[in-house]
Order: sequence, then structure tokens, then C-alpha cells
Amino acid sequence: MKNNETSSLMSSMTKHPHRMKRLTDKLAAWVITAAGITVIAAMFAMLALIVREAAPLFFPASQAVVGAIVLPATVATDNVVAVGVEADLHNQFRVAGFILKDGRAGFALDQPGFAGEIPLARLPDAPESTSIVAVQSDGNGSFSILWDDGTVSLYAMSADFPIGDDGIQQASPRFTRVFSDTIEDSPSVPPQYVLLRGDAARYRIVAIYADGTVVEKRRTPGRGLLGASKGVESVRSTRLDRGGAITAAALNDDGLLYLGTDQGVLVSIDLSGDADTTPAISITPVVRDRGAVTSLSFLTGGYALAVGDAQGTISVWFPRRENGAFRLRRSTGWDADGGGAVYDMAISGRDRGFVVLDESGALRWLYSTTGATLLSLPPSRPKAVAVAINERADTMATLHTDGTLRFHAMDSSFPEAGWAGFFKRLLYEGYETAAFVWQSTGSDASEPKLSLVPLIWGSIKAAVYALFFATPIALAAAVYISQFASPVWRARLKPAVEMLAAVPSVVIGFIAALWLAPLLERHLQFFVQHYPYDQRNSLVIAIAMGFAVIPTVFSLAEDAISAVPPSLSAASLALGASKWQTVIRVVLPTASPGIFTAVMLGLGRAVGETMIVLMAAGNTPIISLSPFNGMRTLSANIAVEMPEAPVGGTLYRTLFLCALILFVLTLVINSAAEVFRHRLRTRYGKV
Amino acid sequence: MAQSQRSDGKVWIFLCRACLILILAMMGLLAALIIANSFHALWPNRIEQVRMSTGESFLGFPVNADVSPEGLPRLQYKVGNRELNSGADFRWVYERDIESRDYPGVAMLVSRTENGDFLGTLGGPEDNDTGSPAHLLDRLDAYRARWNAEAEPLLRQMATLGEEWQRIHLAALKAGYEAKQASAAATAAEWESKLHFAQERESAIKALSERLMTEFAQVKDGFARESVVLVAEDATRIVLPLSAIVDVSWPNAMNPLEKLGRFAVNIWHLLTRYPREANTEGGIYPALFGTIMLVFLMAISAFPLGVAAGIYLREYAKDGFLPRIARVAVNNLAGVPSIVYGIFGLGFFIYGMGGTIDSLLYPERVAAGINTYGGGGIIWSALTLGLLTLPVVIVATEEALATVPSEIRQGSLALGATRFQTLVRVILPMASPGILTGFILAMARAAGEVAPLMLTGAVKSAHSLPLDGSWPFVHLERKFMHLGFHIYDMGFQSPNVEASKPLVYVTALVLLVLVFVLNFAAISLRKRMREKYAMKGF
Amino acid sequence: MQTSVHQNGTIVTAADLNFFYGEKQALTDINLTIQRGLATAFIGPSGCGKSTFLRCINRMNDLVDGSRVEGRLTLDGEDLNDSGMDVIDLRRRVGMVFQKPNPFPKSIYENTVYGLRIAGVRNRSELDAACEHSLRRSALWDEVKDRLKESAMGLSGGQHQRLCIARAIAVKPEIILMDEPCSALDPRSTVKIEELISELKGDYTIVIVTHNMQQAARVSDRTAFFYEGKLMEEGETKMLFTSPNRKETEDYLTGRFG
Repeated sequence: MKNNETSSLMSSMTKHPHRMKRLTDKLAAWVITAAGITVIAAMFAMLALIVREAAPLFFPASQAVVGAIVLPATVATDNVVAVGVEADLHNQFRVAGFILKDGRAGFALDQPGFAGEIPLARLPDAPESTSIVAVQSDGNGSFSILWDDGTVSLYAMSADFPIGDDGIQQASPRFTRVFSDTIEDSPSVPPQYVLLRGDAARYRIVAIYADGTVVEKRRTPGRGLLGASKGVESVRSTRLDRGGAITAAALNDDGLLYLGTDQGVLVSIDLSGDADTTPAISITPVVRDRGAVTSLSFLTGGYALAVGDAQGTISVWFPRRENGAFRLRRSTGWDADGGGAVYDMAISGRDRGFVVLDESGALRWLYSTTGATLLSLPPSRPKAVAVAINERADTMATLHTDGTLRFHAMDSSFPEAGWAGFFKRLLYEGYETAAFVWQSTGSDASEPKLSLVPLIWGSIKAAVYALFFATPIALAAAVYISQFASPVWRARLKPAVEMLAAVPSVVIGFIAALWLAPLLERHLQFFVQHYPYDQRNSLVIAIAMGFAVIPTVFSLAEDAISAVPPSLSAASLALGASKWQTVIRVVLPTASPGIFTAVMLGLGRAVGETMIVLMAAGNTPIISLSPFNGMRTLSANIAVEMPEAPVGGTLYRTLFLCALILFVLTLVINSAAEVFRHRLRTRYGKV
Repeated sequence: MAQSQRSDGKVWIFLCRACLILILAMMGLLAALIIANSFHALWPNRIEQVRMSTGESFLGFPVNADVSPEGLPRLQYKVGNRELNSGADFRWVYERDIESRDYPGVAMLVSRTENGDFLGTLGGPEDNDTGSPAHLLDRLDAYRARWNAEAEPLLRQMATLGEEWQRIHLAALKAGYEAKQASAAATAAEWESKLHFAQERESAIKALSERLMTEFAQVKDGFARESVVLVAEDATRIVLPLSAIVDVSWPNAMNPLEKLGRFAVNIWHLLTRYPREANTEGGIYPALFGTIMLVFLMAISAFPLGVAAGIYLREYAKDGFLPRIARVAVNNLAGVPSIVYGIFGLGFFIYGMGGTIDSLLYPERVAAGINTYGGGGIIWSALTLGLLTLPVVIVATEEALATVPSEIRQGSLALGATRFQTLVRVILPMASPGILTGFILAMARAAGEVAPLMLTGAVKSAHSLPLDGSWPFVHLERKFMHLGFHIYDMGFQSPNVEASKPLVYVTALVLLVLVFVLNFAAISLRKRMREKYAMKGF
Repeated sequence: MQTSVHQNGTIVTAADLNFFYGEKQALTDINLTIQRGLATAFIGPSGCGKSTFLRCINRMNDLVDGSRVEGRLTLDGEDLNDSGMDVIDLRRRVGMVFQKPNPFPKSIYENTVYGLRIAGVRNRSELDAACEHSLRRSALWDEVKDRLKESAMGLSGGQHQRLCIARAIAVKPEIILMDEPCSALDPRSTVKIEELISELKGDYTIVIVTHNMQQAARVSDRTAFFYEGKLMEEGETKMLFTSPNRKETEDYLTGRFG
């Protein structure tokens, strides 16, 4: 090479910025590292987010005292007959309302330094110059009031929190009279208890007298002549002559009246029938050792009845209609904790929770469905004598003997969730026996049932059934392809079977549901006639999901079997064994870790499958071993429920918990498979 | 040594072989079912005229045959004419009640914009100008030409106006919101004037579109008078406006070539038309479009990140605590169910990122309760699916990089190349078949995933595509339709599952074709690149 | 940087060089000089450290985790392990041919000019000239001149190795290291490579590691004998082979071990 060529080449090489080259290298290293770390971080973020959304389900309930108001000296605590409390949506503003014996009412706003004027005014639409004889309240803002002139009225407390023109939020609370009436034909003695339910157009009034007389007056909307709407009134009365003296009463919207007595029994009087029938009466003992019933309240939904007694025990009862009468069945209960008799109860308007105040001033926040004690507050000094909570159950007000009203902010933290809610066998309202039930609902009226047991059962059942179908077929095919088919066929058929893995599961699912399920039903008429049979059932899933999982198991098992060194087979054959004997006695045992891995990975895939189950399993969350029933899996549950779940609510977080369980399940299965795969490799290392 | 029959295992070997054949048979059955049903759905089938022993006769397509619970064979016919049969377009008849079956040439099939298909005959000269099919077709052509000339432009104008109105409305919303939020009086005034301007525009557009609508209504009235009298088999006459006719054909009178032509046209219509009547009729164009766009978006989000991460793990990080944890994480995440990705996409992308974007960029819409990015959208679905395929792409990249012999790497470094130069000039070209193949296979698998889409933006019906002619042309926040989701929706949420069944099969076939095209592309790419970079002599 | 060739002079010096793979010491107190323009052979039984020392010269050992150098190793007087030493540039100045021929899956042309391209040379005529020159010097030009654009994978094993040598020469290295370049080749190709080495050694300094003593005797001017990580003996090839100073050398040469 000529010298000038040499030197020009050399200068070319040195002229070009060496620095550029190094800079690009550094930059590239930077970008690639950043990308790598981002991706890996994203994956951990995924797990973190799911845990973060699901974790609060298990946090305990909490409360904190956030304010206290001293009632004016003119208002003696003894004169307060009822208390109510409201709060705004963000639980920043709270206002408590109280009703005095003389018929006046006032409001205390939770604002620091609010010690001054609390204007008192007579309840709106109250009868003139009367005072209150008796008040019944469920502690949730509605008050049944008996006036001394025989008028009965139902009052409700409500509050708005508008933002004023000056941008400052104000509280605008009020008592509203829902309806009012009088009780005619009453004995000279005023009733001991009055219970009012309904609204101005349709209502029911029950008056209970000390001698056991029960008078019911109802008004139903009707049409008078000429189309004008006119209420229809009816009155009937009955007499209770056994069970003891009445100590507590509760009435629900359907007309079921319960009376608690000093002999520890509950008398149920069914007022729901026609006005001209005699109401059915039945008696159930509810208190141990015949202690007195001291407090009764229907929980939200009007089905479950909370009973408090003189010993301080609390129990919840479900009514069951049997032979026309109502029987009571105990669903759950809480022992006394030494605080004396149950004094007052306030029920949550949002769920089956309720607060119980006992004689000593101790408060307990209980949740009926799971039988849990959400919170337990020791008696405060001075002690509390009345308690009220708002509809959303995030604010509580307690009235104390020294005339203070204390405000508590409460957080129930998903009471229907938690270990008991998810995994315990619970007796739900309306059910015969305790069971694992998943039935999330949109309305407040029915009890949310969030047991994860049927879903986990469904996932496992589907996966196991699928593998029962897939494993023998896939393994047999793998054995054949690996050991008995000619190499030509092996090269053609193995990829062909693996192509099955490319078929989207939604396609398999719809064929299973629209073609296979009806076909099976037609040909299994014997079972359809004699057993409970769903068209979309576990058998369909076994075949469909098994079919989807076959390529996974087949492929890995075939790899494992083919990886057995031919020298082992050769040795066996040389000893005079047949090909089949060699396969059974030598090849398969050697390949068994790999085969096990294959099955495990197939199981992992089956557990996570969503579309096939969604379309072909009937989606009923039940626990059953029968192949003729459907199921609902964790994955299908997420797909079905998520679009309707309010963000941040219990259902939303529970679905994240479902995802977490799925995550963990597949993690465990896949890790176990990996461990075995490792063992397989080291084993061959020895060979 | 005599071998007993038993130890030979011939029976067992036979059973094993039978299992293999069973698998292949099931696959074949699946394919056959889908292909046969799709074919049946798209082929111009003959219309049967069924005469019953009761004297009644009807026109229909036989679609199903089974045995009733009492053991009597029966046939299911699609008879159409929904409005004449109190909402049912299918009926079952017992075979024994059928007296005769015929294929009259005059039987016609009319697919309509409402009430599904009509089966019957053309009204005679006493009802129409002439009773001939040719004349009807001419009339239809003329009608359509006139429609395109007179009505279509109006419709297009209204559509454009509608889009503009949407834009202005959102601008007005923003102006109103900003005016309220503004702290300085001058800014507030500015926004107020913008608001006024927008409101004026809004009313101007409204007025204009009112005018257009009345004009269109007039045109439509004129067109509505154009109609044809059709006669059902039971002699009921219906007057069908030409505007309600989507398609007309006389299948019994077609020769094989015409049928083939019709078949091709049906396929074309399927792929290019929009669905009608709650996804029970019409085409699947938006779903096809949505699926392809989704795969595309997913690819560009997963590929760079996945390959970079794979390169990072293999070439840059190598060993150490962090990469080892990372590999464990990647391997395990590859097995996580897709619905878990879906729920993460919902919680993080949609409510998290989307909500934040909305509150930062579109606070006025949030206040009005409108979700832009804070609800499902094609971008979130694409990112969720991208995340789902990320582990697979990373593993494929790592494994492909591992196939590059270390002496090649060393050879390049020994010549004075930097790590980056070695990567780009030598390693990546050699690893690219493996990387690309793994990537395309991952895409194929993700194209068939439906579960995560249900939570992140796939809908049963979207009125506009995520890519269209209105600014900014690409609408990543829009919800979209998807073939797989379509199958689920049509098969299970449809008000009329029987009617949508043929469409479900066809959609499944299209999805399968798409997935298999991707698979074959991957495999042939791998073969071609292997040949190019093959290391012979090693 | 001149690649002018001096017939005499030291190009590489090792002074008290110790090398460790983690805890294990692979080289102990190596003191050695390599002369410019000569072919030096490293011989010794497997695992004696000859390849390790070779790879120290172009710092390819850096690619192994846990490797550590103590002592001094210089090229042209520059300390190779100094923190200011540009390793990338060093590797361009020191060419390497591997035991297993490792041409890239690119065309013959691209293989040959690879080193130039990464150094930033883009001028087509320069690359063409360098390509022809390198291939000629590697005795490959006549065989491949008509198929420069074809894939290098189509060549035979021996041709592969000659291509690797051409590739190494193209960047005008000061010294070419060869790590058992013929052990993967058939006898005929081996002869060709050995001829090549003899031709190149005037213009280039060559260091060749070989386990084939006869090969060392054939091609090298000087020989160094390594044993268990230590340099046992080094000197003119003829002298070392006919009258070695150390017993271990003699034992090895006569085949008593290794």
C-alpha cells in the first residue's frame, strides 16, 4: 500500500471524532438503562398498585373526637329527649340537632369556639302549647313524637351545606314534619310508645299502651269520587296478654312490629296484612336467663332486628315466615362487656352497622353481617347518655351528662369486607343456613355479600376440571409424538398442535357456549331429567378450557420427554424390553419432573383464564362438585363486576383483592413449576 | 423370550395415537365449524318455500336441525319479517308436519335498515310500476344515485357541522370555566368574550343545522315517497320505502357464477360496512379497524421498551442483585392472567393517569362530568396490552441475544468497537430474527385478548373511529370497537342472539385469520432471516 | 501514530505483572518484553496463563468480571492499565485473531472494513483500497475478489480465519495477537496461515499463542514458555528449542507433560 494512502487512511481514522463515538456509547448506555429500569419498575408498580387498592379492606375501623359543644345552661341535659346529627359530603362540617321536652329544638354547629347563642325554636308545625310525652328514634334522624294532647308526629332531621356568596360553606339544618295525626279511641292513659313510619300519603302509626293494648292506624292513598285523591284510614287494635311488661318496641316499613318485654321475650305482631284481619302474634324468648329486653331496633333494610338486653348482650335476629307466623332466628350476637344494660342504639343508614350505648356510657360499633365489633369505646367522663349517627355513618354525636355534645368522625373502613366478610361462613338475611355467598348489589336495601370462597372455589374447580380433561390427552399425544411417531410426522404435527395455542380464547369460549353447551344438553337428557342441570356448566368448561390448555401441556411435556437421553432408551431396549415398556419404565419416570412442570404451567394458565369461563360457565357463584353446575371464577368476576363498581368503594377494592389473589395463585403455581424445572436441569447434570 | 401381548403395549400405543388424533380432530372440528358457519352466513343461500300439512306455507332459510325433547326431529328456519311475526324471525317446525319444500325463483331477500330481513316476493304490476326484478334494481340504482347527489352532501355537511359544534361546545365549556377561575379581572374579561364568541358560534351552527335538517327532511320526504310493494308468503302486503332497503337479491334465480359474485360482495360488505340493529346485522368494519389500530398502537408501545429492557438485562446489567430480581419478575409476570393487567390498566392508566391528565388539561370538562382521558380509550387499552406483552418481548429479546456467540462479540470489541457499536452493527442484526419473531408472536397473542379490553375502552358500539378526518385526526382518547369484544358482546349481550349468531361466526373467522396471518408472518420472517444470517460451518 | 516498522526495539513490556481472576491468581510476576517486527510464540501446557497474558495486552480480560491486574504492562511505553488509557483505541491498535474463526454474518467486504467503519472512516475509495490491501496481504484476495459482496458465511474454515486476519490488518494495528489461530483448522489451512504469519511478521509484530510446539518452532523468532502462571523461560526460538535453560522447559519440549 502506498505511503500516501496509508497516511490518508490514518488521518481519516484519527480525524473522525473519537469523542463522538464514545459519547454515543455513553448516551446509548444511558437510554437503554433508563428503559430497562422503567420497564422493571413498571412491573413492580403493577403489583404495588393492586396491593395498595386492596389493602384498605383490611384496615380496622377508626374514630376520632373532632369537636365538642357545650349546650347552653338553660338547656338541661335531662330535657333533651332526642338527638340527631348530619355532616356534609366531605365530613368537614357537622351539625347536631336536639329536641327538648317542651317541644323546642335547636342546632349546634361543630365550629371551634361556638359557645354562644344556640337559638331555640319550636318544632315546625308542632301543635300549640304542648309538650312531648314520648319520643322513639332509631338514632338516624327520624323521630316519632307523642305530644301531650294526643297528637303524634313524625319528624326528620336533614341538613344542607351550601356554599354562600362569600364562598364560605354554611350549614343549613332543619327539622321537618313528615306527617302528623291523632289517635282516637284511646284509653285515658297516654300510650307508652308510639311508632310512626311512612310519609304523608301512606303511613302507619302504632301506639303501645302499658296494659298491652296495641293500636294501629294506617292511611293508604286511595281515590275518592271524581278522581280526587283521598286517603283511606283504618284503625284496629289488639291486646297482648302474655310475655310480660313491654320494655321496648320497633316497627319496620312492612308493618312488622316487635315488642320486647321484661321477661326477655320478643313478641312479634304482624300488621302487614289487610286492615280487617287479626294480626298474627308470636312470642320468642331472646334473652338468656329471662333478663329484660332494653333496646330494639330494625337495621337498615327493615329485615334484621337488633336486640339489646339488661345484661348488656346484643343479638341480631332474622324473622322467618313459617305457617303464616313469624319465627325469629338468631343470626349473630355479642357478649356483654361489663358495661351494664344496653341503653341506646343508633343504626347506620348505609349498611348493617349500628352503634350501641350501654349504661356505663361505653360505645360499641357493631356490624351485623359479619358479627364483627368495628370499634369499642370505653366510657367517657362524663358519660354519654344519647347517641346519634348520620345516614352515611361517618359522623356520630354523643350527648353527655354535663351538657356537652361531642362530635366524632367515623370511618367504618369497609365493614362488609375483611377476613370475616371474605372467608367466613355467614348467615345472611333471608337465608336458611350460614353459607358462603357472593352477591354484590347496587342498592342499599339488600345486604352485600362478599364471600370470596365461591369465587376461589370456582377458579380452582374450573382449572382442575380442565386439567382432568387436558392432561391425559395431552400427555398421551406427547408420548406418541415423541417416542412413536416418525421424525417426519413429528416435525409436521408438533407445530400443528402448537398452533392451537394461537387461537384466541374468546373464540373457544363462544363455540363452547353457543355450540357445545346445547349439544351436550341434548345428548345428556338423562342427567338433565334427574339432576339439577345448567346448560353452561363445569363439563362444558372442562372440555373447552381443557382444549385451550392442551397445547401448553403438550408442548412442554413433549420437550421433556424428548429431552431424555436416547442412551437410556437404548440401554433398556438392549436388555430386551419392548418400546412401550421402555417408555413406561424408563423414559417417563426420567421425564417426570418436566411433565409435572408442564401440568403445573397448564394449571397456572387455566386458573387465569377469563373469556372462556365468562362465556361458557353460567357465571353463578356457587360451591358445588357437580359437573352439571356452572361456576364463577375470580377472573370472570372481575370482568363482570368491575364496569359497575364505584371507584374507591368496597366492591372496587374487593375486585382488586381478587386480582391480587389471582396474581399470587399464578405466582405460586409458576414458581413451583420453575423450581421443578431447575431440579430437572440439575438432575440431568448428574446424568 | 416370548413377549406377551400385554407388554407390547400395542393397545396403549394405539390409545396414545388416538389422543393425538383426537386433538387434531378437535382442532379441525373447531375450524370446520367456524368456516362452515361463516360460509353459510356469507353465501347467498337458497330460500325455501315450505308447505305444511296444515296448508300454511312460509319462506325461510333452514338454519338448524335437532330433536325435540319428545324425540321428534325438527327444523329451525329463519323466516325474517320480524314485524309481521310479532318480533320473532325464527321458527321451529316438526319435520313430520312438512309436506313439501320448494325453491321458487321469485323468492326475494331484502335486507333492511330496520326489522332485519324480509322474505317474500315482489308485488305485481298492479302495485308497482312493473313487477320485474330488473326494474326494481334499476329504480334502486337511480334512487341511490339521486340520494348521493342530493342527500349525501347534506348529510356530510351536517356531520361536519356536528363535529364543529362539538369543538365549539367544549371551547365554550373551557371559556366559561376559565372565566370563573380567573383571578385577574382582565383575564376573566378575556375569557368572557371568548365565551360569548363561542356561544354565538354555537347558536349560529345550531341555526344552520336546523336549516339543513329541514332541507334534509324535505329531501327525505321526497325520497320516502319512492317505495316498493312487497308481498309476504301469507299474502300480507308491505310498502317498503326504498330508503330502507340495504340490499335486494333473488338467490334461487342465481347461477353459480352470480352466486360467487354475490358471495364476494357479501364478504366485501362485511369488511367495509358498519353494523346495524344492535350488532345483529351489517358489517364489522369498525371492529376490524379498531383491532388493527389497537395492535399497531400496542406494537409501538411495547416494542421499543421491551427490546430496550431485554438489551439492558442481557448486555448492560448482566449480573447483580437488581437484574436477577428483574428476571424473576419478568418471568413471573409473563404468567399473570390478562384480567389482572386489565384491572391495573383501569386503576392506574384510566383513573390514575387519565384522571390526572383530565384535571390538568381539561378541568372544565371534569367539572361538567365529561371524561376525556379519565375514562376508557384506545390508548389505555393499547398501553395495557403493551404491558401484557412486555414480559414476552423481554424474554424473547434476551433469548435472541443469547444466541449470538460470544466470540462474535469479542471479535468486534477486539477491533476497537464500543459496546454500542458492537450492539448495533453486529449483535442486533444477528438477534433480530429471534426478536422480531418473538415480538410478532406476542402481538398475535395480544390481538386475541379480550378480557383487559372490557375494562379499558372496548365498547359494543362506537359512533366514530379513533382515526378519522376531523382534527386532530388521531383520537387516542376515544373508545373503540374490537373483533374479540364484538364476539363476546354479540354472543352474550345481544337482545337477539339467534339473529347475531351468523355474524358471530364470521367475526370469529376474521379474528382467526388476523391472528394466523400474524403468526405466519412471524414464522416466515424467522425462516427468511435465519437464512440470511445463518452461521454455516459452525 | 506511525506504524512504521522498526526492525529492532521493544513494543510491549511486562514488569512484575500479576493477574487475578477474582481470588485465583492466573499470572505471577511476569517480566517480559516483546520485540517489534518479530513473531513471538507463547507456549506451555493448558491453563498455564499464556492466553491470559495475551489478552492482557489488549485488555480483553476486562470483559471478565472480577479480573484484576497488578504490575506494569506497557505498549510503546504507555502504561496499559493507567486510568487515562483509552481501551477502545487500544483495541484498535492491537489486533486479535481468535482460536475459533469469528467472521461476522456480513459480506466479505463489510467484514474486512468493519474496523475502519467503526473508527469513523466513511470515504468509499479509502475503504475499497484498504479492503483490497488487507485481503491481498492475507492471501485471500484472489479467491474472493469476485464475490466481495457475498456473505462471508459461504467461505471455508481456513478462509474464515484468513478473513479474520485481513479484518485485523485493515486497521493498521501495531501488533497482532493470535490466540491458537490454527487449532480449529485442517492441516492444509494451517499451512496457509503459517505461511501468512511468516510473510506478515516483517511489517507487523506478531504474538502467537500455540499449544503446537512444532508450529512455534516453524513460525516464531522468539519463544516464551509459560508454566502455571509464571514465565519460565524466554529467548530466541532456536536456542530455546535446542538448548533450553530450565528443566521444566526441557520436560515440556520433550513431551514429558502437557
